[in-house]
Amino acid sequence: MEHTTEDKMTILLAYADRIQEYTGRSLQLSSGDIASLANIMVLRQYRRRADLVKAGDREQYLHFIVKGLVRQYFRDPIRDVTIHFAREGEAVSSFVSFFSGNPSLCQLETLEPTVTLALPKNKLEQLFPYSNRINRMARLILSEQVLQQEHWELNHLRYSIRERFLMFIKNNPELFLRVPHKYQASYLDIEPETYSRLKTQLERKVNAIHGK
Amino acid sequence: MSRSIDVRNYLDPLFTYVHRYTQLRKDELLQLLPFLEIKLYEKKEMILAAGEIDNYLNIVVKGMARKYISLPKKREVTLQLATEGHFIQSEVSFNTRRPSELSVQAVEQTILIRIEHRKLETIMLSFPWAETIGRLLVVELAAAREKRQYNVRMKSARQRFLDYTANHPQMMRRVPMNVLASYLNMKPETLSRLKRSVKDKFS
Repeated sequence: MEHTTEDKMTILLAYADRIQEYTGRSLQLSSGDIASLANIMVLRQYRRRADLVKAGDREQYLHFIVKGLVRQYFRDPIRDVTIHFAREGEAVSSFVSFFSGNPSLCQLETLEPTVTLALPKNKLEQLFPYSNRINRMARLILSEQVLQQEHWELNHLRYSIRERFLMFIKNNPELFLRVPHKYQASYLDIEPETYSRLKTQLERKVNAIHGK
Repeated sequence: MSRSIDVRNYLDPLFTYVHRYTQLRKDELLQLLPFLEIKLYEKKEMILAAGEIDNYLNIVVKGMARKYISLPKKREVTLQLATEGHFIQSEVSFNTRRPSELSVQAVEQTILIRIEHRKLETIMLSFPWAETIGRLLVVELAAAREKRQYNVRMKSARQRFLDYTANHPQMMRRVPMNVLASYLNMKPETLSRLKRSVKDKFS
């Protein structure tokens, strides 16, 4: 598959809008910045169940997902814990490792065959001294991560298991269909059995409404 | 209560803290002087009340502040404890400019050096090196958050307690037990049981 510079610029601009929506700040990237970023982007293709980065390794890429689905999780011999899902149009990386250069705490795995356009760490770092706006982009990408984590933590404290389940489905109808249920349960921090029970209850209700 | 304190008296510790992560230079810090505010809070005084928009990035130069959420039935959960050299604010409110769901409060008598939201934007636009410093500080913040997320989701209450006491022995004395218990994501009873069991082992 070939991706033109124009494709790369489109995906960067779409992502810039998204960051603005989440953080309330404009990235203020110039067309020159966008061109420099597009210029260093590389195409990465992964089969289903491939690791983008393993825990303990140093993250080398900041991916923008063109197609596919990635889950981010903490690895554990007994019980992995899923902390995030990323799909088309979103950025995914072990961000802290990518920007700090330290070994990654989490692991990233594809749940579907996945294509990304990725910024390589070494090339992006060469751009930092030349553009404050690219530094700003890095700052806002990380800020968004912090905001997302806080959002999860607050939801977890404030809402019941049932409420969290229903909110997740309402806000992420597509993930509900695409992500294996055990990972959704893990993300919501509920037992797989509880997840199945809540799902069955919901389906009964939906069927009742439709008179089945 | 506004005892006058001069920000200049606290520039050295401030420099030490920020320099740790960012290689900020002394002359760069001095350029920031006109943008910095300093404020003293008495023990238990509110720094930010839930419902307000957080207009400040704060760094603790003396004392301790905590960030928490109030839940129904008067339950409070502490999400962050910030001692000397650490930043504290309601990031979500500060960034999105919406009312904060979280509160920030002084745990001890506390002195904060603060930068107001608009002034921070001005700093970012005025000094070419500021964005680099900003990026490195956010990396540090995000790393701390990721570590907390890992601790809360992957470790047992006992392990969280043991790790925390090993890394922050002085906090056992400085932080009220109910605050520390909610910060470590456990019941106060569990925390006192763990404290006792450790004490028994070493006495």
